[in-house]
Amino acid sequence: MSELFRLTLAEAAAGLAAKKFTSVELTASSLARIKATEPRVGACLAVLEERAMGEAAAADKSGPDPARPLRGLPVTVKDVFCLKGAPTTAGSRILENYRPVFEATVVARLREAGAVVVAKTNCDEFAMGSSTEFSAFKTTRNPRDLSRVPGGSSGGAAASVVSLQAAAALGTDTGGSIRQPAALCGCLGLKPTYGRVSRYGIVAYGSSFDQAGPLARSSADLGLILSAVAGPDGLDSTASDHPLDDYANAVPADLKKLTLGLPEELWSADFDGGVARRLDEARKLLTGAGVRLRPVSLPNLRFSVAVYYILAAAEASTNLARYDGVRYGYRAGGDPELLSLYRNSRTQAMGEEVRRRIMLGTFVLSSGYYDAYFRKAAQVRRLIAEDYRRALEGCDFLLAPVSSIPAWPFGAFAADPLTVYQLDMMTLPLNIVGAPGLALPAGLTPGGLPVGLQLMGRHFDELGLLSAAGAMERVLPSPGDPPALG
Amino acid sequence: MEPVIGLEIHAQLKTRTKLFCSCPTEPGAEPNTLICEVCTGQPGALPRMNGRALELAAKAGLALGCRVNNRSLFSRKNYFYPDLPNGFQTSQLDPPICSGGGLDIEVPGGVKTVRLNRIHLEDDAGKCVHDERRGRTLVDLNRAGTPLVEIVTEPDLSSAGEAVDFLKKLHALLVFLEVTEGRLEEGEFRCDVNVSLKPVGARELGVRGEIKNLNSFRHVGKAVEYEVMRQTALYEKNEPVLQETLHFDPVRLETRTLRTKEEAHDYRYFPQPDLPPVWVGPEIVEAIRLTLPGTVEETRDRLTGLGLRDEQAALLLDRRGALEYFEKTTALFPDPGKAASLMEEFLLPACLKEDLAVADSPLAPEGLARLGELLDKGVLGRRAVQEMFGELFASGRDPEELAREKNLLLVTDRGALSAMAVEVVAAHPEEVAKYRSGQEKIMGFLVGQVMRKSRGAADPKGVARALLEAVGRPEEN
Repeated sequence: MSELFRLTLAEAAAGLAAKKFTSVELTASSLARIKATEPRVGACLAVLEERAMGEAAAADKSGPDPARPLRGLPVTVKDVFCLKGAPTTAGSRILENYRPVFEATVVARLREAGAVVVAKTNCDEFAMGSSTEFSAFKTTRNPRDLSRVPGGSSGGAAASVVSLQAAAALGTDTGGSIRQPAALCGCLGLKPTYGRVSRYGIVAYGSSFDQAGPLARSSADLGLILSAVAGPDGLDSTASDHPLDDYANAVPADLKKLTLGLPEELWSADFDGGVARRLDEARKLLTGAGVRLRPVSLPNLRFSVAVYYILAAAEASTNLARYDGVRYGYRAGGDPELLSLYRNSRTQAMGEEVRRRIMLGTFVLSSGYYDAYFRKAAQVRRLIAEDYRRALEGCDFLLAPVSSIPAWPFGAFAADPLTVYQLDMMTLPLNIVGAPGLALPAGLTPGGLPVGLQLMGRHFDELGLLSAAGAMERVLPSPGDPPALG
Repeated sequence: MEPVIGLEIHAQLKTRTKLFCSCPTEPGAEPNTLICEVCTGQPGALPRMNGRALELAAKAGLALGCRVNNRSLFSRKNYFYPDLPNGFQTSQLDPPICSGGGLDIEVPGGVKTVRLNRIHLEDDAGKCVHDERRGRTLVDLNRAGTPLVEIVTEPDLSSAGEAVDFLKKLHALLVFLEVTEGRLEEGEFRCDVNVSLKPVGARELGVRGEIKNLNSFRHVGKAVEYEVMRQTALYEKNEPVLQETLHFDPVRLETRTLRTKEEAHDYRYFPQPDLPPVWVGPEIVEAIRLTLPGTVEETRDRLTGLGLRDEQAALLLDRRGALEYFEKTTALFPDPGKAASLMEEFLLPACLKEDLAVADSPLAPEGLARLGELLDKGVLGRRAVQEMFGELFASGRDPEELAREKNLLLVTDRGALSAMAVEVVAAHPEEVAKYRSGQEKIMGFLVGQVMRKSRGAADPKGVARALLEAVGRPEEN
């Protein structure tokens, strides 16, 4: 009983239901694990100990309730989700003192389902980044190798799940921010279809790309979280009322009946040697289990990095206009003149990467440049969507790597933002098309770093992804526990 | 040179809640009390469409002969200002909710159609309150997110007078349609005016000045007159007119530069990703068309057809809420002429005096209808109404009850009137004799005597009847 934190969400739920332990014990174990691992991992921006223990006690008191399938289960949420009364910074100085007066719909739904939020996890500032190095507050380390980044922007979420701080985490994925850190840390991550999950109360980055989703150590746990948070929301006009499936009870697919398309443009990338070897082996394991693999093509994929960094930056540049030092958040002292107030507040409290993307987005929307950049990118976005639809014809899903390189050492790309943008190429297409994707581990490189694969599905086929992943995770090598962190 | 004038009118829609959240839209509340996470631009908050605002915009469009676009799109209009919580306004660029349309105005020698370019929906900003004494600026976001329609005309107007006529007519129509409350003093109907000059007959337009944010018809007239004068002077001196944004100073009656072309904002419009395209299907457009009450002209004809005088019809059409009040009253008291005179003579002046909207009158239409009935039955005289109306209006009480309390009900009882008539006849034998000898005018004096006896509470018609009987009675000798 001493290591309850090792349990998956499903195992913990079963244990609670069988009264093998209480939520107070489970939550205390999670909090103790956080305390033990944080000095090395640094996954959390805020640990909500008191509040979590109170909620755990209440969960124990209320007893089992079929309407609350996550009752008493500790989870973490990325610091971009508004949690009423708790700090919500999105990793930015400009929101350092911000306490939301309302709750993100997905967080409210998690809590209504009974989940206990134990911590808010670190991320790149405003979810802009691929390594969590752009957090204004702290460094999150990859639990598999503390000298390396956890990926990003949901690096804290992945690190919290892999270092066993909680069985599941809620992250967001605008250009790969769930799938890439999941792959780099060695866990699973699901980016739902755009509109499957409400965006209300999630600090916005690229509004037509942002989507919240779970990270966990099993596909069953992804399904448990998704079934709690998915569905239409009167507060988000872009949330879809497309019928829901029973995500919590996805049955593993029959691999012999599965056909997966391999997008040539992604598989022909320039891979790190260790990653390439792992990917080859994974393909062999899958074909050995009866999966049919066939090459497909996404001809316009080469434009995806440009399309994404134009459109997402454009949306970000105006989404972040509200952080002006007037109503809440950081306000620069000194010169009270209005323009100086704006300029100084934003310059002093926003990081370089955020300011870079604001500049980029402002530029592509400017009069005289709009047609050449924003409009063109929006057109190419539709072409990529058409490619994607066509590639899926005759396939159940597409299968692709998540990253061409494993987790990299801190600072490796500090002087070279464009190279990091290029690294997003594998994950961006799904956000551009709005389709769902699921990243799952495919073992470790000889150097012990996780390698990930991703399944890409048709819009709203999260159930299919969970079923396929449920079968594939039995075939692919598990990354195992990280080295001792405590 | 001749002036070319185009207008951009902002009218606040008459909805209970804001355009993208459910905060109320009332004016006059304490600062920052009608706000939520959406209209204050909190991180992660998202807009949701107010369907009623869409309907009202479409309704205005249909009444103005516009095409209602089945699909319209919201865009973000980006600029920084402390009263703009999101750092962008959510407005419609292309396509807007309505396109085309027009409104006729009377001009010397005929009718002129002023074409409309478009009507689009957008949200209002909050307000900055400058505290001069402390040297601070405070922000009130109660108004932020209030739904507006912007009505854009083609440059079809050619004088200050035409501009004012057009605005007055448009204002009356939108108020009549209940699209807007149209309170000018609350800024619920305001406009930007574009003015340029061109040689008479020329097709090409000159460089324009845009006068921002005028909220009185008089100011529009004065601003246009001044701007035409200013631009004419420039042309005469052979100096260029600059494209600029102007502010009208209502005290000095002149326009002043707010921003030059170089300082103009680049609004960086792009489709608002948080709102899917707005769909107003043909069946919805038809349903809205059915709710149109007919034009102002049709309604005026209908009212005069009911026997109202022209001035009365105009009064009901011009005073906000008056027509509605009239219709509620006549539903209970089906004498339109009398109902209209009661409103003209008593109710509307009382509202004006107390500075109340007709809809807020403490005396409900039910009360006024009851008053009409009492007058009709002869239980209450007009003088009594005059005497008690102030109190009746303020209290909103039942008129009969109040009249009884104040002893103003007319004596209609035959026996009582007859007794008083007999007494008066007995007390004035000389006058009675004169009457009998043919001086019928003396009857007026006798009626007056009975009225005096009753302290004005007798029903004059009943008194006359009773006196005739008393006078006609054979002498008792």
